Amino acid sequence: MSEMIQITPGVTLHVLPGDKFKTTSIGVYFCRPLDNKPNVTRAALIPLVLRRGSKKYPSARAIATALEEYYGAALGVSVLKRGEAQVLRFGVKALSKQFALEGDDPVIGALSLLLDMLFDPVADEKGFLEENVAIEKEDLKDDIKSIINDKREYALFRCKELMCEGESFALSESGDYDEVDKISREDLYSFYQDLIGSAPVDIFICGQADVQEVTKLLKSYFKPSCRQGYPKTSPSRTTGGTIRRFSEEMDVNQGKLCIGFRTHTEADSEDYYALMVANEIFGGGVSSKLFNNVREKLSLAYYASSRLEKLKGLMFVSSGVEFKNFEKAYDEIVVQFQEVQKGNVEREELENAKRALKNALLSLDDSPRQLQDFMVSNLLSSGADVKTYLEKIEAVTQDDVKRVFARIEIDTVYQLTGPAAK
Amino acid sequence: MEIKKKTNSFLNETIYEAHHPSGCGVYLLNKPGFHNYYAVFATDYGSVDSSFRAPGESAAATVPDGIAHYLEHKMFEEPDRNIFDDFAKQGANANAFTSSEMTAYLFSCTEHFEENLKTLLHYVQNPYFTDENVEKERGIIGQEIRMYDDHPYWRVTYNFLGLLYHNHPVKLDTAGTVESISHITKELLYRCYNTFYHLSNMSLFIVGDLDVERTFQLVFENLRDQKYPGEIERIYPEEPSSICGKKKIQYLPVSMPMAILGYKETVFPEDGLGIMERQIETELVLEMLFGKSSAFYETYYQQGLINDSFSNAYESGKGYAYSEIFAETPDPEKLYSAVMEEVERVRREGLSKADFERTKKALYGAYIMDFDRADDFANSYVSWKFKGIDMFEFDSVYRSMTFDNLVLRFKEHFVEENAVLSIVRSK
Repeated sequence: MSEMIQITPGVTLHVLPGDKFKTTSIGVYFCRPLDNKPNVTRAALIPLVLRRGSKKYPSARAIATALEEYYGAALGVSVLKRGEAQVLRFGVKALSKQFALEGDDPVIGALSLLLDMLFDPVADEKGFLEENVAIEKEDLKDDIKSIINDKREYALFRCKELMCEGESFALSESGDYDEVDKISREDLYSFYQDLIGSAPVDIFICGQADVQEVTKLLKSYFKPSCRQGYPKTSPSRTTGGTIRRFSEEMDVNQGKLCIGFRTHTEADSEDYYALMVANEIFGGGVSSKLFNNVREKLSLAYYASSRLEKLKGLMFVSSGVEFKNFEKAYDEIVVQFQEVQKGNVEREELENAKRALKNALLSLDDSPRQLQDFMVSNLLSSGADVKTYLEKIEAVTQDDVKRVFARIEIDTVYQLTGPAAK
Repeated sequence: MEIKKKTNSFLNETIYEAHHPSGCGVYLLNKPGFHNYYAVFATDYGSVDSSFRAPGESAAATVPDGIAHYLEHKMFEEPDRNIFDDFAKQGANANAFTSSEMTAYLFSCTEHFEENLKTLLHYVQNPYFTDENVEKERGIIGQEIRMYDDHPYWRVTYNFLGLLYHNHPVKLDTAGTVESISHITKELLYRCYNTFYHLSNMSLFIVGDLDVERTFQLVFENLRDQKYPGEIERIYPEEPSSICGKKKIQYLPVSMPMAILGYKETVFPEDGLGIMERQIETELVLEMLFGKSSAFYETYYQQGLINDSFSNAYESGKGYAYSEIFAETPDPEKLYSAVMEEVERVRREGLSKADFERTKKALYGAYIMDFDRADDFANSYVSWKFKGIDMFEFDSVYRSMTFDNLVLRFKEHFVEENAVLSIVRSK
């Protein structure tokens, strides 16, 4: 589906078909292990400091001004967690050349700007500029704290953190609040130099761009260096048979219920496809058992859904309920979970789940950003492409669904409750 | 059937348009090479339409707040099943949403496009409400309302609208309140349905790798025969031009205070093009003053008063319009003063022509880029259509924009007595 061009060893350009788009999207992904609090925090700070400017465009304002000249090209940085990998993404999205009213190719212009930012940041002999590091440290701290703003996401975050305590997976991709102030500009700069030269890099381009020109440009920035392989995610532990329960209080109107499951199915195993189908049947969308029972039949919640943490072999259910209905909702979720375990899955449910997954996979082709993220997750596991997914999902049977769910264990139950609960 | 073609010179794209005898506008956008089909069937009816006089009726009706949204939830019900089951069998992803001025039903799929389109047209034209199924929804929507009560961004937005508007219903939560929805009955839902889901009040937009003729044919065969019943009179309370309050603080658990400040609009153009001009001009001024390349952004980012979330927008609808500036900031009051001072400085020193030219280029780019997201484009197109505006007119409005008009827009909109400040912070 995509053509691969090696820029230097460990740096790969993936050319995705995209003639139908008026915009070209480019994503540059650096993968590193989610290893420990100090390093993860340093790595999370790097994209923020880099966006303060390059030698050519020495301030965020200079970058913003230049991007406007390229017809409002978008430049974004983000830090993702994929299993026990921390993934730094640097992206640009720009109008393809034929839509520019005049002047240079906006894609090449915006990409050069991004590469300057990555390889030639504003710095002095000691490292990044103190003022830039200081501002972005405050921003990173704000970002780490801001997880509490969205209660649904916060409850899920806490459930994962508590469930995987002691495992790397418990670390947040944004780093740790208490580590931020310990970072010096010298220390950060040497960490940056090491990262930029040693992490495996995957670059995706999708749109009507001049691939030769892009390849040439990338080769002029990425010089040969010794790069590591992709980080590995360690398999999830077993529960030891006891379910751990946590309840935390916050000043909220609605309770949040999250349940963490250990699936014991690894992302690169043949059974993973059956797990995808089974999860879809259980709580994937509006035709799932959770939606039909917790919401439609019992009117307990507006949302009740499950999702997989593919690389770590986990599954999480999340729902928003009245405080007084925590038990009722929990019981119903468990009943539906056991239904799938027992194999009480209609032929129709199986086929609907497969169709929903197929539709989502085929739609990736129309959405460059989602396709890029999907491909990165696959590079970190089985390496399967969309075509393989489609074939393997099609082959999943009711027995497969029952079998993969039978080995899933409930590990952790987390409730976010409010003062009104008392 | 008469099919009209409308071409946009920037995009080099064509929209096909035909009107069903019932009055329903049908719009097709052909996207060769795309895998996804997307269709949105929408009615010009939202949370602001709680008071109206139906065609042919002498008395006006006032219905409970949140009813448009409740109705949207109940449309999925069929006598023997939930319509989601049909979409699931046909591999489609179906959904719906209600905004202050529009209710939209949509699906996207990569297979069985024609069956899915028929399903969409069928269920939106055939409501099935019973006392039981209406009752069942109360708990679900109650939880949806509770969820939004805990959502700081949602709260800071509605508090902001409450400061701007004395009476206009745009200030009310789309879903209503637990109290207001307790009064919703099957009869009221049918009454609203029969008034606002007349095809003359609706539009359909379809995007994908389409056979244009065949798709129009299919749509026309599946729309019912309806005669134009006359105008729906929408009754909005008298809204003074002044703001309702200056500042509001709500306490919720947040990591940093959230603020929205902005200006109530006082100028209301007569026609669609005028509204589009006002929209584009105000957006440009906001970007020039407070966008990422502005002096303001740089100064206050470095002082730590704003962060990456600092953003702005301009919103408008029937009888309302306003600009808004959103921030996560340690000191909302200080930010408010800084914005007011900046506006005063620009009033004294003038807007920059170079900023205008550059921001204009970025706006052009944004217009084209949005076009690659077919579903968002379709939703926007329909919502603008309900305001009497054709988004494909963008190129002519863009070309006729002048710096002098922008200066006028700046002077008339950014007036401190129309400015308000809404804050959500932790105790």
